[in-house]
Amino acid sequence: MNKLNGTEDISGSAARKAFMRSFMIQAGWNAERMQNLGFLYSLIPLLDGASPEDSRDILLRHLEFFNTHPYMAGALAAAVGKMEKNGEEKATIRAFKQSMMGPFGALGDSLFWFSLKPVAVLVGVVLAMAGQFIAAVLAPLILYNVFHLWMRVWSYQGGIKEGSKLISRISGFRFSIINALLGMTAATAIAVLVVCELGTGGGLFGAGEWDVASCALAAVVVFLAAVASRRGLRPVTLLYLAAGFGLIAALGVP
Amino acid sequence: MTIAQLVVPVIVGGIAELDRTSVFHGMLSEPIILSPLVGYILGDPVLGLKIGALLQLFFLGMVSVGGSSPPDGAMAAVAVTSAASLATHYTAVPHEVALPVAVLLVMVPAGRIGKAIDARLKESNVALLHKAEDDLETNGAGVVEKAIWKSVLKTFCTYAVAVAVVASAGTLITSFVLAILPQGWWKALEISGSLLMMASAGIALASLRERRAFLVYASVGICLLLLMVGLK
Repeated sequence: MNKLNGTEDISGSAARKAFMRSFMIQAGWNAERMQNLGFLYSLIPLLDGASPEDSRDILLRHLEFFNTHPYMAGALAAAVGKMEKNGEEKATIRAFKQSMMGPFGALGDSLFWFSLKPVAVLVGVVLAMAGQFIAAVLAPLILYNVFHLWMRVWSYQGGIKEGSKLISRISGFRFSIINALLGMTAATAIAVLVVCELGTGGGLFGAGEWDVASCALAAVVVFLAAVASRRGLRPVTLLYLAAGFGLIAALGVP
Repeated sequence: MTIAQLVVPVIVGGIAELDRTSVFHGMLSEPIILSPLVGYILGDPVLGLKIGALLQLFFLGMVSVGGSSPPDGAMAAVAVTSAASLATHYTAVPHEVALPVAVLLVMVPAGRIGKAIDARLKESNVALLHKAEDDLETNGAGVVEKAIWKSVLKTFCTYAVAVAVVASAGTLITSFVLAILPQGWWKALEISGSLLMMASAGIALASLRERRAFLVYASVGICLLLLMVGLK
């Protein structure tokens, strides 16, 4: 947080206040213009020093539709605040905001929701299988939030200092490589938890230690479930089908 | 069972739902975090851990993208864990595997309730937006701040009440199901536990966006199996 020292035109306290408010970007999310209220809420401290007329004009302009990834919205609000303070053209600011929210949303979704989160929570599940209660709860929280908070601060700082040039800071980040590495780590974690859950007999739901052939069969069942899920079978249907098979198999055995 | 043990999970559930929908988004609402926490409050952390791990795999790919409202893993986590923890006090169903599996099968659709509430709240926030828009001209930035805090309060209260209702109803339904469950099914539920784990792991694998995920899973799985053969 100490890095948010502000700039000549935006004071450190205003920058810090706006940053804290960016954690509430999804509050006020509405079906009509989505994150616009949260975006305004984060922008307000950055308009500190503007005349009431200018401030009102800026707020009314930014009541338009806005939606991006919640972690990246703060950086966009900071960049827009900086551009407003610099007195840039209204059309330029609007074009920047409108053109950036889509790519920032896609970037945040792929990096956080589809890459980092699976790895963090799967680490928790593997630790849960090992019976490590505290580690299973804390490890995902720490793994995820250290990177997530760093990314928020780093991108926000870019917005405050560089305004519309924020994009050059973000594009220097090798997202595709990070996403691929995280995705492969998550797949590895699933393989580990399937084989260990059944192979060691010490897992969460393991009914005793299984032999190698049973473990291989289980790994294939997981693979088939994944294929069925990818092909559009609803997760809840798959869950009840699995339970049904289990019940039929067990009740069929005298 | 104390009053605190009944009230605290509801407050924790409300905070987790705020984290999921409105404020911070720091993964407090993920089942692997929430279920052990609720289990700990209700006196059975291990049960919470089991339920959390399975629900986490199941809900892994259900994320809000582009404003969509996916099924709510937090609601399911609180409801399933509360119902299972409370059930341990009155049922003879073995607590290790059969009980959490039975409760989970009954209560997993609770996630759909959270999804419906989510959609309703997003609709109701439109009125807050219009009010703020009307008042902004005359009252300045304060109206936006007021709208945001109103929305946060509304979200917390709605979800806290919903968690309390769903967990209570879930406990009643679960107690009925456990009471009529034939003893012969207990062992069957234990076998289903492993199958549920496999199905959930498959659902989690399918939710990964990395195109080489299946290949990596298969390669690592084969290596581990060969290692098992070597060790035996």
